[in-house]
Amino acid sequence: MSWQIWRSKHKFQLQLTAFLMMLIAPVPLFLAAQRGDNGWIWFWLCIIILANLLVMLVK
Amino acid sequence: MIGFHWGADRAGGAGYLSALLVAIAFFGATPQLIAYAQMKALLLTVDVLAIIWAAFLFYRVTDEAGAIRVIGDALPHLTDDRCMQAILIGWVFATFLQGFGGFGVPVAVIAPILIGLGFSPLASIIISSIGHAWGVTFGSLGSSFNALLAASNLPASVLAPPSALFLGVAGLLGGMIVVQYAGGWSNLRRLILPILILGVVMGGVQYLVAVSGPWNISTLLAGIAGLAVGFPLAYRHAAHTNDNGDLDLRAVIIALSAYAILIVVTLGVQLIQPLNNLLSGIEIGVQFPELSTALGYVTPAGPGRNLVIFRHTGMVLFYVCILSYLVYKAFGLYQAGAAKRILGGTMRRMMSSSVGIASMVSMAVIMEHAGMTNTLARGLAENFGAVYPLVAPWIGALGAFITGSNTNSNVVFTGLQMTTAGLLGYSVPIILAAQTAGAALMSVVAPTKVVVGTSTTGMSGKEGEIIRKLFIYICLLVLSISLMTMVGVWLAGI
Repeated sequence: MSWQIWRSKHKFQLQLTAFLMMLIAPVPLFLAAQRGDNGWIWFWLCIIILANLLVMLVK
Repeated sequence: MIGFHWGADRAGGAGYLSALLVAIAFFGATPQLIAYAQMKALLLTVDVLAIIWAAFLFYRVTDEAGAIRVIGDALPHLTDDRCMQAILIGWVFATFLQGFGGFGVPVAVIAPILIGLGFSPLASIIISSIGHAWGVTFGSLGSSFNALLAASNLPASVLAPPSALFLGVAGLLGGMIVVQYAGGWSNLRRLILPILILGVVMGGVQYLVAVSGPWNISTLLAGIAGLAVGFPLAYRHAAHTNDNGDLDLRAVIIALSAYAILIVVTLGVQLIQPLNNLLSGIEIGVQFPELSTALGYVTPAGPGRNLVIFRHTGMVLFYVCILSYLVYKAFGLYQAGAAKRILGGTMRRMMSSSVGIASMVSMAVIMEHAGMTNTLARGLAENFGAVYPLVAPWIGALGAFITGSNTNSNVVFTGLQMTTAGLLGYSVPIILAAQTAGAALMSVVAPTKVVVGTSTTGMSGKEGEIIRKLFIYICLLVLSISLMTMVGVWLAGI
Protein backbone atom coordinates (compact mmCIF):
# COMPACT_ATOMS: atom_id res chain seq x y z
CA MET A 1 0.00 0.00 0.00
CA SER A 2 1.52 3.37 -0.97
CA TRP A 3 2.15 6.06 1.61
CA GLN A 4 -0.47 8.35 0.04
CA ILE A 5 -3.16 5.69 0.24
CA TRP A 6 -2.14 4.69 3.77
CA ARG A 7 -2.23 8.25 5.10
CA SER A 8 -5.55 8.92 3.39
CA LYS A 9 -7.00 5.76 4.90
CA HIS A 10 -5.72 6.64 8.37
CA LYS A 11 -6.39 10.39 8.24
CA PHE A 12 -8.57 10.37 11.34
CA GLN A 13 -6.06 8.38 13.41
CA LEU A 14 -3.16 10.62 12.31
CA GLN A 15 -5.08 13.80 13.07
CA LEU A 16 -6.18 12.41 16.44
CA THR A 17 -2.55 11.61 17.27
CA ALA A 18 -1.45 15.13 16.31
CA PHE A 19 -4.34 16.65 18.26
CA LEU A 20 -3.49 14.70 21.41
CA MET A 21 0.15 15.76 21.08
CA MET A 22 -0.96 19.40 20.82
CA LEU A 23 -3.23 19.06 23.87
CA ILE A 24 -0.87 17.13 26.12
CA ALA A 25 2.58 18.62 25.39
CA PRO A 26 1.86 22.19 26.65
CA VAL A 27 1.37 20.96 30.22
CA PRO A 28 4.85 19.44 30.76
CA LEU A 29 6.19 22.30 28.63
CA PHE A 30 4.70 24.79 31.10
CA LEU A 31 6.10 22.86 34.08
CA ALA A 32 9.55 22.79 32.45
CA ALA A 33 9.34 26.57 31.93
CA GLN A 34 8.50 27.03 35.61
CA ARG A 35 11.62 25.01 36.52
CA GLY A 36 13.71 26.91 33.96
CA ASP A 37 14.70 23.60 32.33
CA ASN A 38 15.59 24.57 28.76
CA GLY A 39 16.35 20.99 27.74
CA TRP A 40 12.83 19.75 28.52
CA ILE A 41 11.33 22.97 27.09
CA TRP A 42 12.88 22.23 23.71
CA PHE A 43 11.90 18.54 23.96
CA TRP A 44 8.20 19.27 24.48
CA LEU A 45 8.29 22.13 21.98
CA CYS A 46 9.64 19.67 19.41
CA ILE A 47 6.66 17.40 20.15
CA ILE A 48 4.32 20.29 19.30
CA ILE A 49 6.33 21.10 16.17
CA LEU A 50 6.15 17.44 15.10
CA ALA A 51 2.40 17.44 15.69
CA ASN A 52 1.99 20.44 13.37
CA LEU A 53 4.24 18.83 10.74
CA LEU A 54 2.13 15.68 10.97
CA VAL A 55 -1.03 17.71 10.37
CA MET A 56 0.53 19.32 7.30
CA LEU A 57 1.41 15.90 5.89
CA VAL A 58 -2.10 14.51 6.23
CA LYS A 59 -4.44 15.10 3.27
CA MET B 1 -5.80 28.71 2.57
CA ILE B 2 -6.68 31.25 -0.04
CA GLY B 3 -3.69 30.82 -2.36
CA PHE B 4 -3.00 27.09 -2.16
CA HIS B 5 -6.53 25.94 -1.24
CA TRP B 6 -5.30 24.15 1.86
CA GLY B 7 -7.85 23.30 4.52
CA ALA B 8 -7.71 24.99 7.90
CA ASP B 9 -5.96 21.98 9.45
CA ARG B 10 -2.92 22.02 7.16
CA ALA B 11 -2.82 25.82 6.85
CA GLY B 12 -3.02 26.13 10.62
CA GLY B 13 0.02 23.90 11.01
CA ALA B 14 1.95 25.93 8.42
CA GLY B 15 0.88 29.19 10.06
CA TYR B 16 1.97 28.00 13.47
CA LEU B 17 5.40 26.89 12.29
CA SER B 18 5.91 30.16 10.38
CA ALA B 19 4.91 32.26 13.38
CA LEU B 20 7.18 30.25 15.66
CA LEU B 21 10.14 30.67 13.33
CA VAL B 22 9.61 34.42 12.88
CA ALA B 23 9.00 34.96 16.61
CA ILE B 24 12.28 33.28 17.55
CA ALA B 25 14.41 34.53 14.64
CA PHE B 26 13.25 38.14 14.35
CA PHE B 27 11.29 39.12 17.46
CA GLY B 28 13.53 37.70 20.18
CA ALA B 29 11.04 35.18 21.58
CA THR B 30 12.76 33.02 24.19
CA PRO B 31 12.05 29.33 24.86
CA GLN B 32 10.44 30.25 28.21
CA LEU B 33 8.16 32.78 26.52
CA ILE B 34 7.11 30.24 23.91
CA ALA B 35 6.48 27.65 26.63
CA TYR B 36 4.21 29.95 28.66
CA ALA B 37 2.48 31.14 25.50
CA GLN B 38 1.73 27.53 24.56
CA MET B 39 0.06 26.94 27.93
CA LYS B 40 -2.05 30.09 27.50
CA ALA B 41 -2.93 28.84 24.02
CA LEU B 42 -3.97 25.46 25.45
CA LEU B 43 -6.43 27.11 27.85
CA LEU B 44 -7.83 29.22 25.04
CA THR B 45 -8.02 26.20 22.72
CA VAL B 46 -9.95 24.16 25.27
CA ASP B 47 -12.23 27.15 25.86
CA VAL B 48 -12.97 27.47 22.16
CA LEU B 49 -13.16 23.78 21.24
CA ALA B 50 -15.53 22.93 24.08
CA ILE B 51 -18.09 25.24 22.49
CA ILE B 52 -17.49 23.98 18.97
CA TRP B 53 -17.69 20.32 19.91
CA ALA B 54 -20.84 20.90 21.93
CA ALA B 55 -22.43 22.98 19.17
CA PHE B 56 -21.74 20.29 16.60
CA LEU B 57 -22.99 17.63 18.97
CA PHE B 58 -26.19 19.67 19.33
CA TYR B 59 -26.49 19.77 15.56
CA ARG B 60 -26.02 15.97 15.34
CA VAL B 61 -28.58 15.37 18.10
CA THR B 62 -31.19 17.45 16.28
CA ASP B 63 -30.27 16.24 12.81
CA GLU B 64 -30.36 12.54 13.76
CA ALA B 65 -33.89 13.13 15.13
CA GLY B 66 -34.91 14.75 11.86
CA ALA B 67 -35.69 18.02 13.63
CA ILE B 68 -33.84 20.22 11.16
CA ARG B 69 -35.68 18.63 8.24
CA VAL B 70 -39.05 19.12 10.00
CA ILE B 71 -38.28 22.81 10.67
CA GLY B 72 -37.10 23.21 7.10
CA ASP B 73 -40.28 21.60 5.76
CA ALA B 74 -42.44 23.77 8.04
CA LEU B 75 -41.06 27.16 7.09
CA PRO B 76 -42.68 27.29 3.64
CA HIS B 77 -45.99 27.27 5.52
CA LEU B 78 -44.93 30.56 7.09
CA THR B 79 -43.40 31.83 3.91
CA ASP B 80 -42.04 30.14 0.82
CA ASP B 81 -40.36 33.37 -0.24
CA ARG B 82 -36.71 32.29 -0.19
CA CYS B 83 -35.43 35.76 0.55
CA MET B 84 -37.80 36.13 3.50
CA GLN B 85 -36.55 32.75 4.68
CA ALA B 86 -32.98 34.07 4.45
CA ILE B 87 -34.03 37.15 6.41
CA LEU B 88 -35.91 35.26 9.12
CA ILE B 89 -33.47 32.41 9.60
CA GLY B 90 -30.12 33.76 8.41
CA TRP B 91 -30.42 37.22 9.91
CA VAL B 92 -33.06 37.45 12.62
CA PHE B 93 -32.85 33.94 14.12
CA ALA B 94 -29.05 34.02 13.79
CA THR B 95 -29.02 37.28 15.76
CA PHE B 96 -31.19 35.68 18.43
CA LEU B 97 -28.83 32.71 18.75
CA GLN B 98 -25.77 35.00 18.90
CA GLY B 99 -27.48 36.83 21.74
CA PHE B 100 -26.75 34.03 24.15
CA GLY B 101 -24.54 31.71 22.13
CA GLY B 102 -20.99 32.29 21.07
CA PHE B 103 -18.04 31.36 18.93
CA GLY B 104 -19.75 30.38 15.75
CA VAL B 105 -22.71 28.62 17.38
CA PRO B 106 -25.19 30.59 15.19
CA VAL B 107 -23.48 29.40 12.01
CA ALA B 108 -23.17 25.83 13.30
CA VAL B 109 -26.92 25.73 14.08
CA ILE B 110 -28.36 27.98 11.34
CA ALA B 111 -26.39 26.79 8.31
CA PRO B 112 -27.85 23.23 8.41
CA ILE B 113 -31.37 24.69 8.68
CA LEU B 114 -30.77 26.81 5.58
CA ILE B 115 -29.43 23.76 3.74
CA GLY B 116 -32.63 21.96 4.71
CA LEU B 117 -34.53 24.80 3.04
CA GLY B 118 -32.66 24.28 -0.20
CA PHE B 119 -29.87 26.83 0.09
CA SER B 120 -26.44 25.63 -1.01
CA PRO B 121 -23.91 24.89 1.77
CA LEU B 122 -21.82 27.86 0.63
CA ALA B 123 -24.78 30.25 0.65
CA SER B 124 -25.88 28.93 4.05
CA ILE B 125 -22.54 29.73 5.63
CA ILE B 126 -22.26 33.14 3.94
CA ILE B 127 -25.80 34.19 4.91
CA SER B 128 -25.64 33.02 8.53
CA SER B 129 -22.15 34.49 9.02
CA ILE B 130 -23.10 37.93 7.72
CA GLY B 131 -26.49 37.76 9.43
CA HIS B 132 -25.14 37.38 12.95
CA ALA B 133 -21.88 39.38 12.69
CA TRP B 134 -23.39 42.62 13.96
CA GLY B 135 -24.52 40.88 17.17
CA VAL B 136 -21.10 39.55 18.23
CA THR B 137 -20.01 42.41 20.52
CA PHE B 138 -23.12 42.49 22.71
CA GLY B 139 -23.91 38.83 22.02
CA SER B 140 -22.78 35.85 24.06
CA LEU B 141 -24.39 37.73 26.91
CA GLY B 142 -22.01 40.65 26.39
CA SER B 143 -18.67 38.86 26.72
CA SER B 144 -16.82 40.87 24.06
CA PHE B 145 -18.17 44.21 25.26
CA ASN B 146 -17.20 43.18 28.79
CA ALA B 147 -13.63 42.67 27.54
CA LEU B 148 -13.68 46.20 26.07
CA LEU B 149 -14.83 47.61 29.41
CA ALA B 150 -12.19 45.65 31.33
CA ALA B 151 -9.32 46.58 29.01
CA SER B 152 -10.24 50.27 28.82
CA ASN B 153 -11.44 50.78 32.39
CA LEU B 154 -14.14 53.08 30.98
CA PRO B 155 -17.81 52.81 32.04
CA ALA B 156 -20.47 51.18 29.90
CA SER B 157 -22.42 54.45 29.85
CA VAL B 158 -19.58 55.97 27.81
CA LEU B 159 -18.79 53.05 25.50
CA ALA B 160 -22.23 51.50 24.88
CA PRO B 161 -23.85 54.33 22.87
CA PRO B 162 -21.30 54.61 20.04
CA SER B 163 -20.70 50.85 19.97
CA ALA B 164 -24.40 50.01 19.73
CA LEU B 165 -24.97 52.73 17.13
CA PHE B 166 -22.16 51.54 14.85
CA LEU B 167 -23.22 47.92 15.16
CA GLY B 168 -26.90 48.73 14.63
CA VAL B 169 -26.13 50.41 11.31
CA ALA B 170 -23.87 47.50 10.36
CA GLY B 171 -26.72 45.14 11.24
CA LEU B 172 -29.09 46.88 8.85
CA LEU B 173 -26.48 46.82 6.08
CA GLY B 174 -25.82 43.16 6.90
CA GLY B 175 -29.51 42.39 6.42
CA MET B 176 -29.40 44.02 3.00
CA ILE B 177 -26.33 41.98 2.06
CA VAL B 178 -28.08 38.78 3.21
CA VAL B 179 -31.00 39.43 0.85
CA GLN B 180 -28.78 40.58 -2.02
CA TYR B 181 -26.71 37.41 -1.71
CA ALA B 182 -29.77 35.18 -1.42
CA GLY B 183 -31.81 36.72 -4.22
CA GLY B 184 -30.01 39.48 -6.08
CA TRP B 185 -30.66 43.20 -6.42
CA SER B 186 -34.26 42.85 -7.59
CA ASN B 187 -35.24 41.03 -4.40
CA LEU B 188 -33.35 43.55 -2.31
CA ARG B 189 -35.47 46.30 -3.89
CA ARG B 190 -38.62 44.22 -3.41
CA LEU B 191 -37.98 43.54 0.29
CA ILE B 192 -36.41 46.85 1.26
CA LEU B 193 -39.33 47.78 3.52
CA PRO B 194 -39.27 44.61 5.71
CA ILE B 195 -35.47 44.87 5.85
CA LEU B 196 -35.67 48.46 7.04
CA ILE B 197 -38.36 47.61 9.59
CA LEU B 198 -36.42 44.66 11.00
CA GLY B 199 -33.11 46.55 10.93
CA VAL B 200 -34.54 49.52 12.80
CA VAL B 201 -36.36 47.30 15.32
CA MET B 202 -33.39 45.06 16.09
CA GLY B 203 -30.80 47.85 15.99
CA GLY B 204 -33.04 50.11 18.00
CA VAL B 205 -33.76 47.53 20.69
CA GLN B 206 -30.07 46.66 21.01
CA TYR B 207 -29.19 50.35 21.30
CA LEU B 208 -31.90 51.21 23.82
CA VAL B 209 -31.18 48.20 26.03
CA ALA B 210 -27.40 48.68 25.86
CA VAL B 211 -27.46 52.36 26.79
CA SER B 212 -30.02 51.92 29.55
CA GLY B 213 -28.03 49.38 31.52
CA PRO B 214 -28.39 45.62 30.79
CA TRP B 215 -26.02 45.60 27.80
CA ASN B 216 -25.33 41.89 28.32
CA ILE B 217 -28.79 40.92 27.00
CA SER B 218 -29.17 43.67 24.39
CA THR B 219 -28.49 41.45 21.37
CA LEU B 220 -30.66 38.67 22.81
CA LEU B 221 -33.60 41.05 23.21
CA ALA B 222 -32.90 42.50 19.77
CA GLY B 223 -33.21 39.00 18.32
CA ILE B 224 -36.47 38.35 20.20
CA ALA B 225 -37.88 41.66 18.96
CA GLY B 226 -36.80 40.74 15.45
CA LEU B 227 -38.61 37.39 15.64
CA ALA B 228 -41.75 39.01 17.03
CA VAL B 229 -41.85 41.48 14.14
CA GLY B 230 -40.47 39.06 11.56
CA PHE B 231 -43.19 36.40 11.76
CA PRO B 232 -46.08 38.70 10.67
CA LEU B 233 -43.84 40.19 7.98
CA ALA B 234 -43.12 36.67 6.73
CA TYR B 235 -46.84 35.84 6.51
CA ARG B 236 -47.36 39.02 4.52
CA HIS B 237 -44.75 37.89 1.99
CA ALA B 238 -45.91 34.30 1.65
CA ALA B 239 -46.96 33.10 -1.80
CA HIS B 240 -50.72 32.73 -2.18
CA THR B 241 -50.88 30.20 -4.97
CA ASN B 242 -49.43 26.85 -4.04
CA ASP B 243 -50.92 24.51 -1.47
CA ASN B 244 -48.01 23.28 0.58
CA GLY B 245 -50.10 20.66 2.32
CA ASP B 246 -51.15 20.46 5.95
CA LEU B 247 -48.65 21.59 8.53
CA ASP B 248 -47.90 18.93 11.17
CA LEU B 249 -47.84 21.33 14.08
CA ARG B 250 -47.14 18.61 16.64
CA ALA B 251 -44.03 17.52 14.74
CA VAL B 252 -42.84 21.10 14.50
CA ILE B 253 -43.31 21.72 18.23
CA ILE B 254 -41.41 18.54 19.06
CA ALA B 255 -38.66 19.50 16.60
CA LEU B 256 -38.39 22.95 18.15
CA SER B 257 -38.16 21.52 21.65
CA ALA B 258 -34.37 21.26 21.50
CA TYR B 259 -34.12 24.96 20.67
CA ALA B 260 -36.50 25.81 23.48
CA ILE B 261 -34.34 23.74 25.82
CA LEU B 262 -31.30 25.63 24.51
CA ILE B 263 -32.90 28.99 25.37
CA VAL B 264 -34.23 27.93 28.77
CA VAL B 265 -31.07 26.20 29.97
CA THR B 266 -28.68 28.90 28.69
CA LEU B 267 -30.70 31.75 30.18
CA GLY B 268 -31.33 29.78 33.34
CA VAL B 269 -27.63 29.19 33.97
CA GLN B 270 -26.80 32.84 33.29
CA LEU B 271 -29.65 34.52 35.12
CA ILE B 272 -30.63 32.19 37.99
CA GLN B 273 -27.95 33.07 40.52
CA PRO B 274 -28.21 29.95 42.78
CA LEU B 275 -27.86 27.70 39.72
CA ASN B 276 -25.00 29.85 38.45
CA ASN B 277 -23.26 29.55 41.81
CA LEU B 278 -23.79 25.79 41.96
CA LEU B 279 -22.16 25.30 38.57
CA SER B 280 -19.29 27.67 39.32
CA GLY B 281 -17.71 25.45 41.95
CA ILE B 282 -14.83 24.04 39.92
CA GLU B 283 -12.54 26.44 38.09
CA ILE B 284 -9.23 25.93 36.31
CA GLY B 285 -6.99 28.98 36.48
CA VAL B 286 -3.28 29.39 35.83
CA GLN B 287 -1.12 32.36 36.80
CA PHE B 288 1.57 33.46 34.39
CA PRO B 289 4.65 35.56 35.15
CA GLU B 290 5.65 38.67 33.24
CA LEU B 291 7.03 37.63 29.88
CA SER B 292 9.47 39.57 27.75
CA THR B 293 11.23 39.03 24.49
CA ALA B 294 14.96 39.61 23.96
CA LEU B 295 13.95 42.82 22.13
CA GLY B 296 12.08 44.15 25.17
CA TYR B 297 8.42 43.53 24.32
CA VAL B 298 6.66 42.84 27.61
CA THR B 299 3.47 40.95 28.38
CA PRO B 300 2.40 41.73 31.97
CA ALA B 301 1.92 38.97 34.53
CA GLY B 302 -1.60 37.75 35.03
CA PRO B 303 -4.02 34.88 34.79
CA GLY B 304 -4.65 32.90 31.65
CA ARG B 305 -8.10 31.99 30.42
CA ASN B 306 -10.14 30.85 33.40
CA LEU B 307 -12.24 27.76 32.76
CA VAL B 308 -15.28 27.41 34.98
CA ILE B 309 -15.81 23.77 34.09
CA PHE B 310 -19.50 23.12 34.80
CA ARG B 311 -20.69 26.62 33.87
CA HIS B 312 -18.69 26.87 30.66
CA THR B 313 -20.76 27.66 27.56
CA GLY B 314 -19.63 24.40 25.98
CA MET B 315 -20.64 22.41 29.04
CA VAL B 316 -24.02 24.16 29.14
CA LEU B 317 -24.52 23.23 25.49
CA PHE B 318 -23.60 19.67 26.44
CA TYR B 319 -26.37 19.67 29.09
CA VAL B 320 -28.72 20.90 26.35
CA CYS B 321 -27.58 18.04 24.11
CA ILE B 322 -28.32 15.45 26.78
CA LEU B 323 -31.76 16.90 27.58
CA SER B 324 -32.63 17.28 23.89
CA TYR B 325 -31.53 13.70 23.18
CA LEU B 326 -33.73 12.42 26.03
CA VAL B 327 -36.73 14.41 24.80
CA TYR B 328 -36.35 13.26 21.20
CA LYS B 329 -35.80 9.69 22.38
CA ALA B 330 -38.94 9.85 24.51
CA PHE B 331 -40.89 10.83 21.38
CA GLY B 332 -39.39 7.91 19.47
CA LEU B 333 -37.54 10.01 16.91
CA TYR B 334 -34.32 7.99 16.92
CA GLN B 335 -33.54 4.77 15.08
CA ALA B 336 -31.44 2.03 16.71
CA GLY B 337 -27.78 2.95 17.21
CA ALA B 338 -28.43 6.69 17.11
CA ALA B 339 -26.23 7.51 20.11
CA LYS B 340 -23.25 5.73 18.59
CA ARG B 341 -23.75 7.49 15.24
CA ILE B 342 -24.11 10.87 16.96
CA LEU B 343 -20.96 10.52 19.06
CA GLY B 344 -18.87 8.78 16.41
CA GLY B 345 -19.98 11.19 13.72
CA THR B 346 -19.16 14.15 15.92
CA MET B 347 -15.63 12.92 16.64
CA ARG B 348 -14.86 12.15 13.01
CA ARG B 349 -16.26 15.39 11.66
CA MET B 350 -14.68 17.61 14.31
CA MET B 351 -11.15 16.23 14.29
CA SER B 352 -9.96 18.13 11.20
CA SER B 353 -11.38 21.40 12.52
CA SER B 354 -9.95 20.80 15.97
CA VAL B 355 -6.33 20.41 14.86
CA GLY B 356 -6.70 23.53 12.72
CA ILE B 357 -8.02 25.55 15.63
CA ALA B 358 -5.36 24.25 18.03
CA SER B 359 -2.62 25.34 15.59
CA MET B 360 -4.15 28.71 14.83
CA VAL B 361 -4.79 29.63 18.44
CA SER B 362 -1.17 28.73 19.27
CA MET B 363 -0.03 30.84 16.33
CA ALA B 364 -2.12 33.79 17.47
CA VAL B 365 -0.94 33.64 21.08
CA ILE B 366 2.73 33.37 20.07
CA MET B 367 2.29 36.35 17.74
CA GLU B 368 0.73 38.34 20.57
CA HIS B 369 3.45 37.53 23.09
CA ALA B 370 6.31 38.08 20.65
CA GLY B 371 4.93 41.52 19.83
CA MET B 372 4.23 40.60 16.21
CA THR B 373 0.55 41.51 16.32
CA ASN B 374 1.30 44.77 18.08
CA THR B 375 3.97 45.59 15.47
CA LEU B 376 1.47 45.02 12.67
CA ALA B 377 -1.09 47.30 14.30
CA ARG B 378 1.41 50.03 15.20
CA GLY B 379 2.64 50.09 11.64
CA LEU B 380 -0.89 50.74 10.47
CA ALA B 381 -1.54 53.44 13.05
CA GLU B 382 1.76 55.29 12.65
CA ASN B 383 1.49 55.37 8.88
CA PHE B 384 -2.11 56.59 8.80
CA GLY B 385 -2.02 59.31 11.53
CA ALA B 386 -4.38 61.86 10.01
CA VAL B 387 -6.82 59.25 8.80
CA TYR B 388 -6.49 57.05 11.88
CA PRO B 389 -10.28 57.02 12.45
CA LEU B 390 -10.59 55.24 9.10
CA VAL B 391 -7.92 52.73 10.21
CA ALA B 392 -9.15 52.05 13.76
CA PRO B 393 -11.84 49.49 12.89
CA TRP B 394 -9.36 47.64 10.66
CA ILE B 395 -6.99 47.21 13.60
CA GLY B 396 -9.81 45.57 15.56
CA ALA B 397 -10.63 43.55 12.47
CA LEU B 398 -7.01 42.39 12.17
CA GLY B 399 -6.98 41.17 15.75
CA ALA B 400 -10.26 39.32 15.32
CA PHE B 401 -9.18 37.76 12.02
CA ILE B 402 -5.99 36.40 13.57
CA THR B 403 -7.47 35.21 16.85
CA GLY B 404 -11.00 34.40 15.66
CA SER B 405 -12.45 36.35 18.54
CA ASN B 406 -13.96 39.81 19.09
CA THR B 407 -13.09 39.33 22.76
CA ASN B 408 -9.42 38.58 22.13
CA SER B 409 -9.09 41.49 19.71
CA ASN B 410 -10.56 43.81 22.32
CA VAL B 411 -8.19 42.49 24.97
CA VAL B 412 -5.14 42.85 22.70
CA PHE B 413 -5.83 46.17 20.99
CA THR B 414 -7.92 48.31 23.35
CA GLY B 415 -4.84 49.71 25.08
CA LEU B 416 -3.15 50.48 21.76
CA GLN B 417 -6.28 52.13 20.37
CA MET B 418 -6.78 54.25 23.52
CA THR B 419 -3.16 55.41 23.54
CA THR B 420 -3.11 56.25 19.85
CA ALA B 421 -6.47 58.06 20.03
CA GLY B 422 -5.21 60.09 22.98
CA LEU B 423 -1.96 61.04 21.21
CA LEU B 424 -3.82 62.10 18.08
CA GLY B 425 -6.58 63.94 19.97
CA TYR B 426 -9.48 61.78 18.83
CA SER B 427 -12.53 60.77 20.89
CA VAL B 428 -11.55 57.59 22.77
CA PRO B 429 -15.12 56.14 23.07
CA ILE B 430 -15.66 56.50 19.33
CA ILE B 431 -12.31 54.94 18.49
CA LEU B 432 -13.01 52.04 20.88
CA ALA B 433 -16.48 51.62 19.35
CA ALA B 434 -14.71 51.31 15.99
CA GLN B 435 -12.33 48.76 17.50
CA THR B 436 -15.05 46.46 18.77
CA ALA B 437 -17.33 46.92 15.75
CA GLY B 438 -14.53 46.12 13.30
CA ALA B 439 -13.53 43.12 15.41
CA ALA B 440 -17.11 41.84 15.65
CA LEU B 441 -17.65 41.96 11.90
CA MET B 442 -14.29 40.50 10.86
CA SER B 443 -14.44 37.77 13.51
CA VAL B 444 -16.88 35.81 11.34
CA VAL B 445 -14.26 35.61 8.56
CA ALA B 446 -11.55 34.31 10.86
CA PRO B 447 -10.38 30.85 9.82
CA THR B 448 -11.12 29.53 13.31
CA LYS B 449 -14.78 30.56 12.93
CA VAL B 450 -15.18 29.56 9.30
CA VAL B 451 -14.19 26.00 10.17
CA VAL B 452 -17.20 25.89 12.49
CA GLY B 453 -19.49 26.46 9.52
CA THR B 454 -17.65 24.02 7.27
CA SER B 455 -17.78 21.38 9.98
CA THR B 456 -21.57 21.30 10.10
CA THR B 457 -22.22 21.70 6.37
CA GLY B 458 -19.89 19.12 4.86
CA MET B 459 -17.59 21.76 3.43
CA SER B 460 -14.45 20.82 5.35
CA GLY B 461 -11.41 21.63 3.24
CA LYS B 462 -13.15 24.53 1.45
CA GLU B 463 -12.50 27.18 4.07
CA GLY B 464 -10.42 29.22 1.60
CA GLU B 465 -13.30 29.50 -0.86
CA ILE B 466 -15.64 30.67 1.90
CA ILE B 467 -13.17 33.20 3.25
CA ARG B 468 -12.62 34.65 -0.23
CA LYS B 469 -16.36 35.20 -0.72
CA LEU B 470 -17.12 36.36 2.82
CA PHE B 471 -14.13 38.71 3.02
CA ILE B 472 -15.45 41.11 0.38
CA TYR B 473 -18.83 41.57 2.07
CA ILE B 474 -17.35 41.94 5.53
CA CYS B 475 -14.81 44.47 4.25
CA LEU B 476 -17.72 46.55 2.95
CA LEU B 477 -19.27 46.46 6.43
CA VAL B 478 -15.98 47.38 8.13
CA LEU B 479 -15.60 50.20 5.60
CA SER B 480 -19.01 51.51 6.74
CA ILE B 481 -17.64 51.52 10.30
CA SER B 482 -14.62 53.50 9.06
CA LEU B 483 -16.91 56.13 7.56
CA MET B 484 -19.07 56.30 10.70
CA THR B 485 -15.94 56.65 12.83
CA MET B 486 -14.65 59.51 10.69
CA VAL B 487 -17.99 61.30 10.97
CA GLY B 488 -18.14 60.53 14.69
CA VAL B 489 -14.75 62.01 15.58
CA TRP B 490 -15.48 65.03 13.41
CA LEU B 491 -18.79 65.62 15.22
CA ALA B 492 -17.12 65.03 18.61
CA GLY B 493 -14.49 67.60 17.73
CA ILE B 494 -17.00 70.33 16.89
